[in-house]
Amino acid sequence: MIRTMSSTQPSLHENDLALARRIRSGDGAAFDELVDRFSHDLFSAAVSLLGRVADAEDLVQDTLLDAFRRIGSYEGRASLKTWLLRIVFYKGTKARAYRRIRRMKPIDAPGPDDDADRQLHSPHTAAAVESKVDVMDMLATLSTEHREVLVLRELQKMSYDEIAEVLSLPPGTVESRIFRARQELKKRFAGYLP
Amino acid sequence: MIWNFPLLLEADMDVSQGECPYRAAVSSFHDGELDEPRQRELQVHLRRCADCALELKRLEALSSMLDAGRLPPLSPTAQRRFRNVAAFAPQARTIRLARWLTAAAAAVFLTASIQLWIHRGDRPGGAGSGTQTVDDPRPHDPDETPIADWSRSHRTGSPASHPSTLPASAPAR
Repeated sequence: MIRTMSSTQPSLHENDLALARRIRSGDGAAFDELVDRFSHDLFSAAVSLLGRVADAEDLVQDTLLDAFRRIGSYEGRASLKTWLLRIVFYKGTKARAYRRIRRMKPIDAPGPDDDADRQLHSPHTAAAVESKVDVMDMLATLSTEHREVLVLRELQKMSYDEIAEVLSLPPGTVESRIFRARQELKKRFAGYLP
Repeated sequence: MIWNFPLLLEADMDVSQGECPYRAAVSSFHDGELDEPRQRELQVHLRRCADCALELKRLEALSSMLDAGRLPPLSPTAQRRFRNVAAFAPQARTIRLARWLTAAAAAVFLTASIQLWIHRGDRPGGAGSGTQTVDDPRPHDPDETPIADWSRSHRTGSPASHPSTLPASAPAR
């Protein structure tokens, strides 16, 4: 059983809250600080989800714009990273759905931007594990919901409670999804594991 | 059974094939997500269960593969673009406000148009208010009734209601 969430009032993330207040008050340097602190994490999450650098950059930019507008609603109950990743995942899900609809339109000509999604259903893993592992290829072999939890766990190093907060899921569901995602990866990459 | 992982056990474990009931907990153990007593208990179990020990090694290998893997780096150009987001945010807000105002103006115009169309029949001379119908072939004379009243009043000697007749109280010159 995973650690149960604390029943006491969660402590506020004072440093993040202070940064948010500075941004709210119009301090331009504060927003630069936010970008410098979080843009790499946001980008790696976005590119792992969407599979394309250009799409990921657009998603991060959109997220930061949204964050700037809504910074007044940040209350410090979650960390700023968790708060920002929630926006990334929310917008990323919408972007993927939009891309799926677009992909359905041309029947005979799949778009060049759908490589990552097509790989979801291709179990070829040999290319992924060569001299160096291509994380994108590894994650692309998973379903969306398994990919999401592993991106947050393995790449962002988030706890189950934090992942639950980002994805709006119960911690128990996060735990079982991570377990299943790893079982899936183990099957696909069995030849490269002890 | 010591472990209580209802979700994992029901969905993923095939106990009938003799799979170790601790095995589903290895993933959470690997992530350091078990509470203290269970963490200790699993550590003890791992020393005597080869299956679970192998499972842990595989999970560690997977994590290493993901850790060592390459993700495309964030370009400095993109980083600069992100920093400029705050500068463009007010413009975006203005555009949003302009869109909102346009939508509001369109809604007001539409409502006013509908109201005018509905109430046009209530005005004198408006559609549906006249006595003449399409089927009536007689030419319509708007002064017809007042003239008839005026001539009738002259024949009977009663005070005239025609506008050209002087009122009875007016001084005669």
